Amino acid sequence: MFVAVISVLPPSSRRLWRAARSALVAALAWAAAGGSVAAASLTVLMGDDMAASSEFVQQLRADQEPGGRFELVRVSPGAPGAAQPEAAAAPDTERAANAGVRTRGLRPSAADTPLTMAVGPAAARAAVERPGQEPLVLAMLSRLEYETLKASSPALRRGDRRVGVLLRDPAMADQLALVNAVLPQKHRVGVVATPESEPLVRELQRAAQGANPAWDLRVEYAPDARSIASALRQVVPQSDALMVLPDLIGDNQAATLSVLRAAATAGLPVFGASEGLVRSGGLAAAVSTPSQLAQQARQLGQKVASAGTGSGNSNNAPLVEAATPATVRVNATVARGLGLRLPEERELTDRLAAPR
Amino acid sequence: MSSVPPSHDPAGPSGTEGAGTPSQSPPSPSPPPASFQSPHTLVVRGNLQRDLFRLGVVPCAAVALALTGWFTHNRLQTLEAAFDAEGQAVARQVAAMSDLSLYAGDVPALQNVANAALRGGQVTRVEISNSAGIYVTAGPKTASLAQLRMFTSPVTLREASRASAFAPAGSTAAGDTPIGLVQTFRDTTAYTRERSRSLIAGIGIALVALMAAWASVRHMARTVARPLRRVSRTVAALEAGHFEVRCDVVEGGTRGTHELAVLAHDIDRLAERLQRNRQISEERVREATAVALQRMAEAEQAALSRARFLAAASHDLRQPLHAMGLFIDGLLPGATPAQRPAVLRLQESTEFMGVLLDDLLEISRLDAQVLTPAIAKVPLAELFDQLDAQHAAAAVEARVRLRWSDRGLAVRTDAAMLRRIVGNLVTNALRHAPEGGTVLVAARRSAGGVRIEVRDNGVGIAPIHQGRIFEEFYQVANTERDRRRGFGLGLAICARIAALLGTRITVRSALQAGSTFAFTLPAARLADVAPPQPAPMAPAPLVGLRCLVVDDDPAILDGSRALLEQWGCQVECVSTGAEAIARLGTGDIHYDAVLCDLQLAGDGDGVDVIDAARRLQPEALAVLVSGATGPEVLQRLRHGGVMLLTKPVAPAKLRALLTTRRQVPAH
Repeated sequence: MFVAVISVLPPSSRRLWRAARSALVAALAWAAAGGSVAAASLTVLMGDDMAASSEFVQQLRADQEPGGRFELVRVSPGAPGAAQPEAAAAPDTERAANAGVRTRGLRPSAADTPLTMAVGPAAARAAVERPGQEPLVLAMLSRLEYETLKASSPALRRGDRRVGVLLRDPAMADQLALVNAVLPQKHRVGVVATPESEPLVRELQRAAQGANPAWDLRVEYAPDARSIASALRQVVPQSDALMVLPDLIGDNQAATLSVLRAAATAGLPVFGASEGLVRSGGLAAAVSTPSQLAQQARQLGQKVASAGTGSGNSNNAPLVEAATPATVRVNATVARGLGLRLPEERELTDRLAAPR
Repeated sequence: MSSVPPSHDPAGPSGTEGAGTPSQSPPSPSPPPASFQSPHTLVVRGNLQRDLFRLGVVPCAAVALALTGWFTHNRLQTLEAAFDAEGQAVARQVAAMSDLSLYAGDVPALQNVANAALRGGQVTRVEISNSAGIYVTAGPKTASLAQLRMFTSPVTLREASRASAFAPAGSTAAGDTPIGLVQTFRDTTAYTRERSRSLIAGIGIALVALMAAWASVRHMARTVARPLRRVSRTVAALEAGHFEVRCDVVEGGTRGTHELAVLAHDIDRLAERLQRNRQISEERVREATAVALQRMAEAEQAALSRARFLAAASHDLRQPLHAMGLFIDGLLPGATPAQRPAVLRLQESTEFMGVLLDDLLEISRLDAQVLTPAIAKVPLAELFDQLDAQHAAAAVEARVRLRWSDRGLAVRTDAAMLRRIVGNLVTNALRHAPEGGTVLVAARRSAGGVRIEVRDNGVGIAPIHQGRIFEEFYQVANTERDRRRGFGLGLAICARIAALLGTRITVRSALQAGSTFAFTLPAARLADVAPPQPAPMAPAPLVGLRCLVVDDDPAILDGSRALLEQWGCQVECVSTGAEAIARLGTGDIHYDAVLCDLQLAGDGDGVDVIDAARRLQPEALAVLVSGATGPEVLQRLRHGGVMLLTKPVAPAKLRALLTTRRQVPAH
């Protein structure tokens, strides 16, 4: 993996820079504990050019304080040397990163609270593998991407660095809450999953069991995203609604359309976590926008920084948060086709935002 | 020209190889075998070439039209089906692509689908709609509806494939319910153009096929018909007698199995045989003609010799007989009673001899064919009356009843000849009728005109004689040759006259049952018959009649002078023609009659005297007296219109002639 650094210091000043950084981290922890101070120094690693990532980064920059340092580092996936050890690769990495630097802001000062934020899975992997002890926030990751990263990167649990993870998908409890808001009388929810979806399924099952009344969850596993017909045939007759998880099926357009067709044929509503799903035939989805995620990520960064400086958590487990749903999208045409009368999107959003 | 009669031998040419030899007569026509006899006449029209043409072109035309029609129909149907299938396929494809979008109300996605369908170029307009008010269109709506064809496909939610089939068993009802409608519109201009092009191409192909078939069949029909036409022409030429004509049709190959070539070869062989037979036949005809001509010449020569002999004999006999008669008539008044019977017998014998000579002369005339019948309408009543008057005395003398039955009929014939026939037959019948018997002369209508029968109830004629009774001098029952029973020339003369009149005398007779002679003449209407001539006046005395007698025979001159002077005539006799013409030309003496011999002394010709008499004294009766009976002489006299008395002249006949002259001045 190739890492580019926008701004680097002279080698003679590194020792001094480390001492100053420790002081800065302490100051940031203090500011975070006070709850009113934003990180003054923010390094953003961006691994892709998707519109959502760009919107996320743009929102981060917009929220940056005028005196704070904002550094954007673009990570090119698949670059040579990605598998090199961090210690030996660090200077080269920094040097090579000069090529992709777009200097944007101010040079960091000793008083800034440094925070590194990785956008997307590629950037997250690069950030985890990067040496350093500054707090790290991994944003715009799906649950499965996070699970994969966790399984493949032991560096994620390093003791000298606090890591926060912001998932881009809403929590399963929020999804079930949306289903309950739309179909108050229905309790049977069907899910078609693949073996890779197991973490999601477990979360969903936990959320279902924790709800009151408990959901009747029907989960069928398909061998892969291209062979879901059999599972659909099992699930559809026993469900009042289908839910598309953000897994291989939810990311596969053909599989998603199959689920939508099956549901439409059977007259079942489909719930998901993306606006595209609603546009393509789903009934409703709890959606988090990149801007809202950026704000949530900045808050998560403050949490991570303050936790690192304040408590000295020895657990070393990353602080994981699901996306807080910003809004609810409803397909009125589908609702009309299903003969449902739904509340307004704003009302549903409010219901979802209400504390449970 | 004669030709060899066609052979009817069913064995064919090979079975008549020796038929042309002179020793064999041509085979008699025999009826064709039963296998050749057709039950009915076969009617054919047109000609063979046209039949062959029809035989070839009509099936070709039918097949070409049928195939072209079928292929064109199929082609048009295929075009139609392809056009419809494409439009329908696009509609179905759009419906399949827009099902979920229509379900979700995703108008941009539907618009994308419609635009994508439009970019394919197969349809000009796409409409996607449902009952919820979604209406997505792509493509202009400006084209005329008449040029657009619409295809519709319902939008249903369906499984994408078997592999991804999700519909559970028993829950497919919702998938069958349409959730919207897709309408695609295709412009039919190109399709219509293609359809017209296919139609024109089909018609063109049919026409080309027909033209090719027409040309091919025409060529084949000509190929078949030409040798047949040549064979037909050859047969026609053979029928017309041109046996040298040949078909000249040979087969191009070497196998020799072409039927037309075989037929032509057979006809050529037939023509060769016919030509050979005709040459043989012509040779035979030439030989036969030569023989016949020789025989005819011999017969003519014989007839001529016979006539010449008869003429000479008649002339030479008549001259002394004529003088003898004149002298006997002169002696009779002055004969003593003792001499009178002898003189009378002498006179009778002379008369018989005269009759015999008359008959011989008449037969000679008839054989010479110098007599021409003067056909007129003759009432039988008058004729029978004359004949009755003529034969009544003889009948009474023979004690035979003579009956006449004319039934008011008339005939068209020569009256004198008819009178001669009937008179001879009646004389004959009276002669053979028994005493107390009856002779019936009856006329009655028959199919061919008027049939005249002379019937007697005499002894009859044995069949053995019936075929010969018309021969000269043939008498059935007169072996003693009694001249009073005739000379056997009567029926011969009757038969010849009947032939002249265009009829034939038939005889029906049986022994002891009498005989019936009959002949038929054309009938004439009695109303057309001229009224009868008034009865001749009574003979007037010949006293004072001036006669000029010219003859080189002094005995005849003396006899004639004595007879005429006995009748009271004034007679002048000269012996040469020149002297007679000189007498006639003087103009001092007017003669009432000029009697001139034909053959005068030297080169004198009686005809010249007669001509001079007609010229110089037209009122005088110019009569040529001759014993010549030769056909040339008689024909010459007939052409010259000369009145002829044949020697020996009966005094009564001469007197009657002169009496008519005597009566002329009385008028």
